[in-house]
Amino acid sequence: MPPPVVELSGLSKDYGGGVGLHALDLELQAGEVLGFLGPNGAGKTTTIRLALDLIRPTRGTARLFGRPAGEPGLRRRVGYLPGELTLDERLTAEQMLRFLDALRPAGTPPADPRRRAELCERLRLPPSDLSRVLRDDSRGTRQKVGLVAAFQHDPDLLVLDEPTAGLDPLAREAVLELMREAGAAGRTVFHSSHVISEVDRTASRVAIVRAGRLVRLESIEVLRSSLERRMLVRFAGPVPVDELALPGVRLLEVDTAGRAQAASAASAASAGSAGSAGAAGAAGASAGRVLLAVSGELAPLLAVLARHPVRHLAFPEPDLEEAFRQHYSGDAP
Amino acid sequence: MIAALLLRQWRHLRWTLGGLALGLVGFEVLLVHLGAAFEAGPGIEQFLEALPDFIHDLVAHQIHAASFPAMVAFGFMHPAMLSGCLAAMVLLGTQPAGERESGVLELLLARPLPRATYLHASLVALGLTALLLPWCVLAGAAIGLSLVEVAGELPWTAYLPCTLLLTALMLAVGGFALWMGTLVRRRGTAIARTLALLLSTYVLDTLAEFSSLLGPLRWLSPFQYFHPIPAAVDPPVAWGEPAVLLLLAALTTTAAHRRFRRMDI
Repeated sequence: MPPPVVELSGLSKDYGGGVGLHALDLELQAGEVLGFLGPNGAGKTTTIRLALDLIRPTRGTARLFGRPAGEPGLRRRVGYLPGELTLDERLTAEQMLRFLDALRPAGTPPADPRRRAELCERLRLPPSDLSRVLRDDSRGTRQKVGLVAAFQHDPDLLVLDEPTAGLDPLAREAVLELMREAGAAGRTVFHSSHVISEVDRTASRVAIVRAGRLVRLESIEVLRSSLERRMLVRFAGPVPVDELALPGVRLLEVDTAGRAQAASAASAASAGSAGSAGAAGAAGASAGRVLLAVSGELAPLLAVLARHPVRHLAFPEPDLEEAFRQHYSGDAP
Repeated sequence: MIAALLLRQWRHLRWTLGGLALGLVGFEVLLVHLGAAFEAGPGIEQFLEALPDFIHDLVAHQIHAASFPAMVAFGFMHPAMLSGCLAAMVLLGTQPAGERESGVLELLLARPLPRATYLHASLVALGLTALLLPWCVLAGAAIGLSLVEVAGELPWTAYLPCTLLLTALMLAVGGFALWMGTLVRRRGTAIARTLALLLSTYVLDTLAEFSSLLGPLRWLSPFQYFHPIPAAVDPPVAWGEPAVLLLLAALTTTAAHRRFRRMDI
């Protein structure tokens, strides 16, 4: 079995005052697209810099393609886009791309100019932008240049820190498409972001970091399935609120015909609580609908629903944003 | 990879370095002409006597012999020439610090570019500049000497030791600037510290001429090992002086290399 493309073991970086990264373990296999999520200051960029040997760990090791990350030769297989991209602003975009491509060991082939041209076209980077000095370019154009630089040599590992920052919607779409293509072609993508919807669309696995610690590492499917699922039930008759007071079931919203009683998630009565009993009296009188948050077994809830005339039943798809919120709420690990 | 890095540096600095090189040539030609004019007239001695006493003392010490050959050699240590040459070295030496500060270095080192190679490119740029600029002064001397008529034969090759001395001094300063650039996070700080050290050691070396109190500290100044006029007009050359400067350059670049290899970008 080939070694992991990225292997971080007990990786720690101490900047003092508790800031940094704490014993992070992470492995990425070939073909994986990992969404690396976390708010500002959580340790995403530190992790990337450690993995690329730009900064040195206090403890732990970082390996790429089975070799210590400090070996410069490995980085010809890496395409990197920093979160705070700074290019040599005195060069034109074309000169910058050629210069970055020239920084490769002797004997290795240069990036294919056709590939570069294709990337420029897909990212809507016209020749007029390429021939202009970077100092005069917009942030979005510079970001596109950084992206072309990361992709132009078709690296086996792409490390992209906030790749869509500053891009227009069309270019953003193109970047997400490029990432998906890279994953499908067996390349590994390390996609660091705090734009959850983008990670949701590209990643096969998600890692969530908080305060320098990895708090969750799951496939997207597992992560979604482990969440509280939402269930929307529309009854032909009155909402049986009393009966819905089951373990693992929370009433988020009860809506009866002609009037609505919305209970926020925060104030919603937990299963079996006095609050839900209170809601029952008001909502049970007429037909309506109910929005539930369900965790754990569904059978008891389905048994209740089976006893009542249900017109419509729906499970809105939980998104990653919900997972993110749950992990950053106060009671998260 | 070094070629790509050097080409980029050249692209950025070609006008600055080109202008400075031409300026050095022109200035030295002018100085040779002035020297020849003085030599043809009452001589440099009279010029020195016309100066205020304290400047006379200062300059007379520097100009080992108030003669035309010394005037030509003075071009290698004229404050304006020296400032231009050393400023170029400080700018080049602190470039890694500037690229680290701006974030460009992060992008470069994420490519398969060994840290040592990046620094070697800076060293090569420093070395080439330390060769180019003194040779421009020498070229100015050669052109000037070919244009003027003075008594006796004065070959331009007599100023080769001055050229080597200036190269050694520039390398020492460049090495120090490079080392400073790896010690601090901001290029401005690195430049300020290097210039502060250069200025203070220059002043120390100058004041030590007159103060017995400062005399014992004089060895600390790199300018103590930089005497182009005696090297040109009073052979044999004291090769120990450039050797000290080259040793200083080697020590500071080694320190910079060690620090750069280990530091966080």
